[in-house]
Amino acid sequence: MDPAGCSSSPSQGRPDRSATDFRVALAGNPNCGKTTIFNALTGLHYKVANYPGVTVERKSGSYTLTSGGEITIVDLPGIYSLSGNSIDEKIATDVLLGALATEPLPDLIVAVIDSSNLERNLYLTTQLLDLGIPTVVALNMIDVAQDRGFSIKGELLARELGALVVPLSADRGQGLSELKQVIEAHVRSPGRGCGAAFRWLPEGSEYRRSAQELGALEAAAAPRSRGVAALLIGAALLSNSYQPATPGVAAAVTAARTELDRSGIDAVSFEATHRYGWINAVVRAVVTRTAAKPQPILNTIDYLVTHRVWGTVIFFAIMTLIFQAIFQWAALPMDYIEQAIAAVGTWLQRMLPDGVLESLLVDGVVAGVGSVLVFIPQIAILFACLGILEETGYLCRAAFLMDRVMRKVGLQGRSFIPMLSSFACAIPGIMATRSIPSLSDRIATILVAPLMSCSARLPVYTLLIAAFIPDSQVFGFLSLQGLVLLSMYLLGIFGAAGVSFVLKRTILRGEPALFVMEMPPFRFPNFRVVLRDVVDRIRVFLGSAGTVILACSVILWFLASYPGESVRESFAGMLGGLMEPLLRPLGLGWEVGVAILASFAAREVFVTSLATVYNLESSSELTVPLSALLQERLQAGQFSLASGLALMVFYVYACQCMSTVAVCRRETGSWRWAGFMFIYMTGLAYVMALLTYWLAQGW
Amino acid sequence: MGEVLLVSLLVGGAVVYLVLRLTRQPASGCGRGCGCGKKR
Repeated sequence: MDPAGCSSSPSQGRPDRSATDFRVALAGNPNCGKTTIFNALTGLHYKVANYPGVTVERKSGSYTLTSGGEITIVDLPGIYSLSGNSIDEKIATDVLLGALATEPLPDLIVAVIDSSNLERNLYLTTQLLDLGIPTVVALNMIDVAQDRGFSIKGELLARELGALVVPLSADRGQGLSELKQVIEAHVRSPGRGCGAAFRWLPEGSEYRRSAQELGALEAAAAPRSRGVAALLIGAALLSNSYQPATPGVAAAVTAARTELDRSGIDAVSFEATHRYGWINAVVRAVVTRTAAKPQPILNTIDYLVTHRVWGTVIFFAIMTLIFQAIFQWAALPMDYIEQAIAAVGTWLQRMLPDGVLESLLVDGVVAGVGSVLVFIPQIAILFACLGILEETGYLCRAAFLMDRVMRKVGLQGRSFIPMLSSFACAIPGIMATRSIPSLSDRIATILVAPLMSCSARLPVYTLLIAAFIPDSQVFGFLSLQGLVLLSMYLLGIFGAAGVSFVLKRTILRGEPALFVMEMPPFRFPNFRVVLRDVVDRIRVFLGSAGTVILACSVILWFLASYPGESVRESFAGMLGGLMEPLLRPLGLGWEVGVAILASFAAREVFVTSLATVYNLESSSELTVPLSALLQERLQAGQFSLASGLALMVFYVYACQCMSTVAVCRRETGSWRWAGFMFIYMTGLAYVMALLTYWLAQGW
Repeated sequence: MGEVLLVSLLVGGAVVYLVLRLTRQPASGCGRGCGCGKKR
């Protein structure tokens, strides 16, 4: 049967369309490998991870055909059905249903399936086939299915679905060339083997007859809206309030529903029962159980890391280990970078005559930009460790452990992924909240996500820790510096919990929704993905050092050099002086005021500003490492351990990032929430810093 | 004189760049350390 006019693709009837206009949409359940396939096809490298909900927006890239020319590949957020109601799910269904005026209906859908979970994945696949858009089924993670003892008869599945089925393992790069061939064949002759719609409907049923009639009516009235009307009879699209293309089709949908009601058929349960009934029968026919590859070690690890007691112990042990590693393993490469930067400064000093240009390059650019480059090894170690945990699927187990705590503070399970992403940067973290359907839960998560310590805070913490915290051991084997760093991250987490607790009981009242998160398979990490993540992060960090941080260094050098003889009399000194009354209670001087103001452009600029100001003040003609300059001041009594700790705590909570405020405004649609976020975070940061200073002084 | 002019240009350029950069609406790939989608 062909209720939606499957025999012709959207491309047909538009002879002016070239291959460049051909659009392939990758659709499938969350965490089934769509983005891995997308990256392999387009050569891009969007974030992939072993947990659901990483992709929250539509992404597109070009695929170059072997015959020349390019087509567009669109990667969609994961969905379980066409009836999701969170923002990311709606983005995916809007594209698939042609509901966006700016996005043409895809010419081909690649329905990506997690082979190890065939039954659940086929639910969406059958809905996609019902749309009548040419569809190819990518049977991904076929290796995982085999390891678990499933053998899938691909040819039989293809016959049942009426669509081409390509088995592949995108992670290992297997089967991708076959998928490319299939896509290219579709570009050459659109509409071939497009998949059979409504096979799940029983022959001769009233429902089937209605679907057929609606499909024909819709195809005649609005070719862009394919199969939507027929799907609307059931519950599939009701929650998204999709309207049929024309009033005539809408009336026909209502009439069909009324008719089914009269016949005693509940369209909602009819669809679910028969769709799953058909899928079950197909799965029984195409899947053969073989002996599963025994994985006793992975199973034991899985059991331990999700155990309420052992799991919590392991979680804290892993985190402690990571933060120890950040200090211990990074020490040597950091020394080398520091020496290299000092050597560049000395070389420039020798080459250039004394003057403003020499001062700008040595005290501004080299001291400023160099001071943040030192932190590359630490950033690499942190993200290599997090990448490994992410790849294994451990982080989802950690989410499972944290769920009970998160619910107590009013956050729901879906908040975990945004919070986790915020450890890298609050911007993707805030965007990841699109998967949260409840508006109050979503805004609460947006408001607390920036409290997670992002990668830009790492240089600030480690600089201050290296300068103020003695390099001693606790219990004979734990570095005190590593423990202090861990405590900064924990302070952010506890702060987020506390703020969320208050918000959910005051301005954002509401019970957190129940959330069932799919546990990804526990597996050995793909080190290629981890390495790429680390390289990406370093590249982004270097990009930032060469642009925003460089520009800030140059401006700061100017502000700290003019007018007046000393830095204190300069523009920067005046600005810092304005901040001084606020900073004095924290035991901090005007130089820190300059750095705090400047770091609103980017948190790393705090380090740059201090380096520039201190180097200009320094009597030494050479570029002196910032940690050494800070230690000099500590010994001279201009700084204390208490003020160092207060400054770190200030950076844990302060909203020192313009981009975060801008994204908060965009995602909440109001400056009110963005302003609220800035004010509460800054206030909290100041109060907590003050508290830390008093406590540390009294101790 | 030439040196002062060069330094002035560098400082002016840095100010213009920073203003343009910070007033730009962040894209989905934020470019500030998230690694969320940079081209190869």
